[in-house]
Amino acid sequence: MNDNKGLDDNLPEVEVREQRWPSPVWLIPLAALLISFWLLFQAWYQRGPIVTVQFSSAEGIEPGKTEVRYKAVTVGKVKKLKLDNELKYIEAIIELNKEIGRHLGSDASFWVVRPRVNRSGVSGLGTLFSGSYIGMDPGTDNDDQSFYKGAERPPVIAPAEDGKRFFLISDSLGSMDVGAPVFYKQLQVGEVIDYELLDNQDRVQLELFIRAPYFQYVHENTRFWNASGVELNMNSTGAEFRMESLISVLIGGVAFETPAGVAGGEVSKQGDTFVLHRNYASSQEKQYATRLYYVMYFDGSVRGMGVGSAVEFQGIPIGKVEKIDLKMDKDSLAVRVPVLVSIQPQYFDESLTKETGEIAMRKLVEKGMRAKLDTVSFLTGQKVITLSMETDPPPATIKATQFYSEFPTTGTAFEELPFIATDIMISLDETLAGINKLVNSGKLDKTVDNLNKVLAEAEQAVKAAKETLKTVDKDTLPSVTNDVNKISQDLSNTMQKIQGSMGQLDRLTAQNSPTQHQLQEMLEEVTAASRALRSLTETLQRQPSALLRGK
Amino acid sequence: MAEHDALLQCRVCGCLSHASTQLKRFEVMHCPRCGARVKLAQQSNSVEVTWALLIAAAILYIPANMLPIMSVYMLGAGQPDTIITGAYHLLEAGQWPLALIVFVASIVVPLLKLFTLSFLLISIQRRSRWRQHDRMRLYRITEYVGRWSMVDVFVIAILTGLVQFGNLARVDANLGSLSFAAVVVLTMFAARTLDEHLIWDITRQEESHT
Repeated sequence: MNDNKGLDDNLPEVEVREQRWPSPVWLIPLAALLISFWLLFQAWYQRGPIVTVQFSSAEGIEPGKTEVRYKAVTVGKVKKLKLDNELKYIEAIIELNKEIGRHLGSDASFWVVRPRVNRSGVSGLGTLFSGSYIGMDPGTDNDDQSFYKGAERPPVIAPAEDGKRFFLISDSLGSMDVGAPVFYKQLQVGEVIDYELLDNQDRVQLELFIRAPYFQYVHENTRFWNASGVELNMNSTGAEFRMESLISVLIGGVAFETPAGVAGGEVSKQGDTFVLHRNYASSQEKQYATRLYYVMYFDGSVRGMGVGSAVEFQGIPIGKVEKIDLKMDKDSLAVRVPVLVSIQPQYFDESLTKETGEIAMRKLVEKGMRAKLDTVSFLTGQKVITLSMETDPPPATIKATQFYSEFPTTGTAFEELPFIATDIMISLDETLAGINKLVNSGKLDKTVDNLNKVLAEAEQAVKAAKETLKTVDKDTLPSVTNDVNKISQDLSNTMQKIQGSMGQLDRLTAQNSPTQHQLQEMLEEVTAASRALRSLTETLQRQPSALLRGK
Repeated sequence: MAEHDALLQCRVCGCLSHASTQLKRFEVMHCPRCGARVKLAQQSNSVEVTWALLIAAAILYIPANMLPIMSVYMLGAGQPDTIITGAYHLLEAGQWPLALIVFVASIVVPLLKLFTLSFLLISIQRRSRWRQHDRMRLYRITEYVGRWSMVDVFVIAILTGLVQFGNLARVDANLGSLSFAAVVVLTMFAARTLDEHLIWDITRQEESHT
C-alpha cells in the first residue's frame, strides 16, 4: 500500500478540459433523421396523382399488376378495383407517375388494351404475355381531374398523327369495326376510327381518319365503297372478281377512289360526309342525286330480276330496281307484282331537277316510252327493265297513285310469242273441229254439193289460219308452227341447263355447303389456337418455371 | 481519502493519473501526458452512444417499412414491395410459413430489438435491481439475434445480382432495403456498445460501499 501511496503521490492530476458539445455519436441519429426525411419526402414527392377510371368491365385488369402506359412507357399502375354504387361499372383506382401527372388534363383518355385483330393483323400481341394494360393519352389541357371515364376500345389514331377525318353514311355497318383499314389504290392510308347509329335515320355513320398526305386524294367526287369481303359479279358482260385485301376480307375495310372521267372537284375538308357504297361496282355508277321513284306492273313473271337489277335505256343503266313486292286486291283476288324502281333522270340531261325530271318523264311516256322486261342473258336468266320508245303504243300516262306514280309497261316480243302461238293453235283447232263435225255429220256421203261445201269450208279455214299467221310475220308463215315447236323444245333444254348450273351455284353458296363449312372450321381453329396460346401464357405468368420444368 | 482513491489509466499511453473528483458539467478528463480522453466507469458514455444508435435505428425503421425494399418483375409485370406487402403476397400465394418467417425476421425482430435495448437502457439509467440475471440473458439474446436480421438484406443483394434477365425476370433493390440494412446495422452496433456490466454496476457499487 505504501508503495502505492508513494507512487500515488508522484502521479499527475488528470487534466480537466471543458467540452460543451455533446458526444459526436449523436450525429448518427441526426443523419438518420435527415436521411429518412429525405427518403420519405422523395417517395412522397415522386408519387403522382391518383385517379379513378370507370370501365364497363374489369376483364384483364388486375389490381397491383395492370400497368398504365403512354407510348409504351409505363406511367402508372392499377392499385385497386371496385364496383361503383349501382354495380354498373367498375372503377379502377390508378396511381400515375409524377411526370405524367404534371401533364394530366381533364381531356385525358384511358382505354384497355387487349389482344385484338386489327388493321395490321393482330395488335396488342404483347398483351398475350404481359396481360392487358391500360393505355392513356394525357390530353392537352392542364386542368386536373381525378375521375375519368375509360373507353373500351383503344383509339386507333395516335393523338399527334397528321390527317383528316371524314364521315361516311352507310345503310349498315357490315363487318366493319373500329380499326378497319381504309385503302387508296390498295394502299392502306387510314382507318375507321368510330361508328355510330344516326339517331334520326336508320343509317350508320362511320368516321374515318386518313393520314397525311393521302387525304389530299379525297375530293368532292371521290367515291367510297365497302371493301369487305369478296365481290363476285356475274352478268351479261361475264364474271368479275374483286377483293381489296385479305385483311379487309376478314375484318372489313373501306376503299376510295375518284372515278376516271369524273372531275375530282375540290379537295375535301375535314369532316366532310360521303356515301359509303355497297361495293366497287355501285361506287362506279354515275351518281346523280335526283331519283324518281316509279312503280311498274308486269304481266309476266319477274323471275330473274331482283333488287338492284338495272333499268336501262338503250343499254345504258339509268336506274335500278329498289323493291319487288306481291300485292293482292282483296275484292278481286287479283295478285300483282309491283316493282319499285328508281330512275335518275339526270342521265338524260344533267340539268334536270326533280321537278323538271318528272315533267320530262311524263312527256316521254306520252311520246310512247314504255317499260318492259328484257332478258339479258339466257345463261343466268337475268332480266332488266328496258325503257324504250314504242311505235304506236296504246296511249298511256304516268298515273299518280297513293304512294308512287305508276309507270306504264308493255309486254316484250319474247313474252308475246307464246300467246301468238296459242292463238294459232286455237284457230287451227277450231278449223279441225269444224272438219270433224262435218265428217261426223254424215253429210259427206250425201251429196257432192256437200263435199264442195266442205272443201270450201276447209279452204276458208285454211285461209283463216293463213290470215292469223300473217299477223305474226309474213316471211315466217310456212315454218312458224314447226319453229314454235322447235323453239319451245330448245327453250326447255336451255332452261334445264340453266337450272343445272344455278343448282351448282346454289350448292356452293348454301348455308351448309362444304365451302361455308370449311371457312367456319378454319375460323374455329384459329379461335382455338389463340385460346391455347392465351392459356399457355397465363400458365407461364403464374409459374414461369413451367418453361423449364413443364406443367 | 476519496480524493486520491480513484486512479485512471490512459488507454493510449498507459499513463496513470488521479481522477478529478469535482467535475462540473461539460467538463471531461484528459490524459495529462498524451491528451487522450480518460474516464471513470460511471462516466462511460456507453448509455449515451447506445441511445444515439438506437434512436437512429428507430428513425430509419420508418422508411424501412414504408418504402419498397425490392421489386420483382416477371415477364414484364411486377411491382415494388415493401416488407409488409411482400409478406402479404407470400401469404396470398399460400406460403404462410415463409410469410411468417419474413414477418418475424424483418418486422418483429428489429422492433423487439429496439424495445429490449430501450428497456435495458432505461433500467440501467434507473439503476434498477430488478431481475438482473434475466436482463443479462435478454441482452445476450438480443446481441446474438441481431446479425440474423441481415439475412433479408443479403437475400435482396443476392437476388438483385443473380436475377437480371431483362424483361423475363428481374429483381431490383429499392431504397427501403438500404434503410432496412441501416436499421439492422445500427441495432447491432447499439447492442454492441451497450456495456452489459452496467446492469451490474449498481450491485457492484453497493458491494464496494459495504
